[in-house]
Amino acid sequence: MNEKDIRGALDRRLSALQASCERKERIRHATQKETKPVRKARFALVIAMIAALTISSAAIASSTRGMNVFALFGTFGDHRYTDISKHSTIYNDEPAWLDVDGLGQVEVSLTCSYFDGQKIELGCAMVNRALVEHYTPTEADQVLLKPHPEPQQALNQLRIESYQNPEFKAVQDACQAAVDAGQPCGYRYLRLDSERYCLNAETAEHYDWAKRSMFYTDDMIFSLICHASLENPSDASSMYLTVPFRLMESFYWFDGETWYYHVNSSIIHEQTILVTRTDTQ
Amino acid sequence: MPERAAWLEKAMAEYETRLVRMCYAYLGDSALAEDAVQETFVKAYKGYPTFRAEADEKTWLMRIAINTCKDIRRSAWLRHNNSEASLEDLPEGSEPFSEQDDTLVRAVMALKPRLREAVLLHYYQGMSAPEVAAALGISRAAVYDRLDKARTALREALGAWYHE
Repeated sequence: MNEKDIRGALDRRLSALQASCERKERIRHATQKETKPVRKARFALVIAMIAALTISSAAIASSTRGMNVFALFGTFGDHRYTDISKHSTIYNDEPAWLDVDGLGQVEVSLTCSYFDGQKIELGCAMVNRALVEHYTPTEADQVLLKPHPEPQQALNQLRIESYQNPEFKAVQDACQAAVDAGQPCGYRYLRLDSERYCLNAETAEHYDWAKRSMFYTDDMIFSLICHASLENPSDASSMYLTVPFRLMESFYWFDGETWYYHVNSSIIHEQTILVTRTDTQ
Repeated sequence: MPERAAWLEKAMAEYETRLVRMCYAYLGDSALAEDAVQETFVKAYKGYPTFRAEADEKTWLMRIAINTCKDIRRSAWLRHNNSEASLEDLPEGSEPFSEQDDTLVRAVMALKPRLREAVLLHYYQGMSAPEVAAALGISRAAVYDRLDKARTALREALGAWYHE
C-alpha cells in the first residue's frame, strides 16, 4: 500500500459521503439568495410576517421558552458550550406558533445567543417540526418524480429524525426492508429547518452558518445551535438578527428497482432577536 | 436555463462527490465539509462571470475549495475545536472498505494541512503537479517538496503496510 492507493481508499472509506439532492437544492437556494436584491426595508416586513404567522394564545403552554440550548448541548455534546452558556443571553419571549399544513402547530423559539464581535452562536428550539410517513405516489405525483441520482442516500435523510422517534424509525426500517427485498416503498418527509444563514436586520448583511449542531432532547424538542464566524470583526454592541425558517417537503419512492424523489420547499417564517455583545453585558 | 445556472448544474454533477470527500478528508468533520462544499459552489457561481475560460475549470474549482477549507479551518471556532478525524461518526457507506483503507485515510487526514492539501489534489483529485501549483498558488518545486514530505510521513505512518 502506498500513496497511489489513496484515491481508491478514500472513495471506499468515505463512500457514505455522496452527492445529494438536498445539498444541490441548498446550493441552488444559496445562489438564488445571492442574486436577489436585499431590501433594506426587510426588517419591517419581518415584523409584519411574524405578526401574521404567530398565533398569540396565552392558553398554549410553551416548552421551549427560555430554554438554554447551549447548556444542554454542553452537558452531553460539546463541553465548550457549558462556558458559552455562562456568557449567553437567554430569551424569555413567547415562541412563535406556526400553523403548518401537514405538521399542525409548530413551536419555534430562538432561545439563546452569544456574540463576542468575532463569532455568533444562536440556539433554537422547535417542537413538532417534522413528519415522516409512508407514501405512495398518485398519478399526478408520478409526473413530478425524478430518478434519484444517489439512491444509496435516499434513506439517509432520516438519520437525525429517526434517532429519537420510534414512529419515524419504523418507516425507515420498513423502507429499508422493502428495498432489501426489491419491493416498492416510499416515504414523505416534511420538516421545518433554519436556513443556512442569518441576516443582520439593519444592515442586510448575511452571516452564513459555518457549523450547525442538531439534536433531539429526551422530550423530543428539536434543538439547533448555529455558529457563524464574522469575516470582519464587528464592534457593534448589539444587532438585530433575523433567522429565516424553511419548510421542506420531500417525497421518496422506490418502485422495486429505482429510487425517485421530488422536493418542495419555501421559507415560511422569519424570526428576529436582539443579540447583545457578551463583554458589554 | 441561463448559462451560469447550467454551468452550476454540470459542475455539481461532475465534482460534488469528490469535493465532499476531499473537504471531509481536509476538515475531519462532515458538517464542516458540507458547508465547505456549499460555499465552494456558491463562490464559484458568484465568480463565474469573471472566470477566465482559458483557466482549467477543475483547477479553478479546487482552488476555491481548498481556500474555503482553509478559511473554515482558520476560523476562531476551529482554533478551539478538536479537529481530530471522527471517521466513526460517518454512517455506513455503500462500499465495503478494508482495514488498510481505513489506516491509509487516517494517515492522510493526520498529515500537516499543507501536505494534506497537496496529497488530496494530486493523488485524490488526480491533478498534475503544475495544476496543483496553480490551485495552491505555489511553485511546482514547492509542490514536489510537499509531496515528497507527505510520502515520507505516510511511509512512517503505514509502517510494514507501506510498499513502493
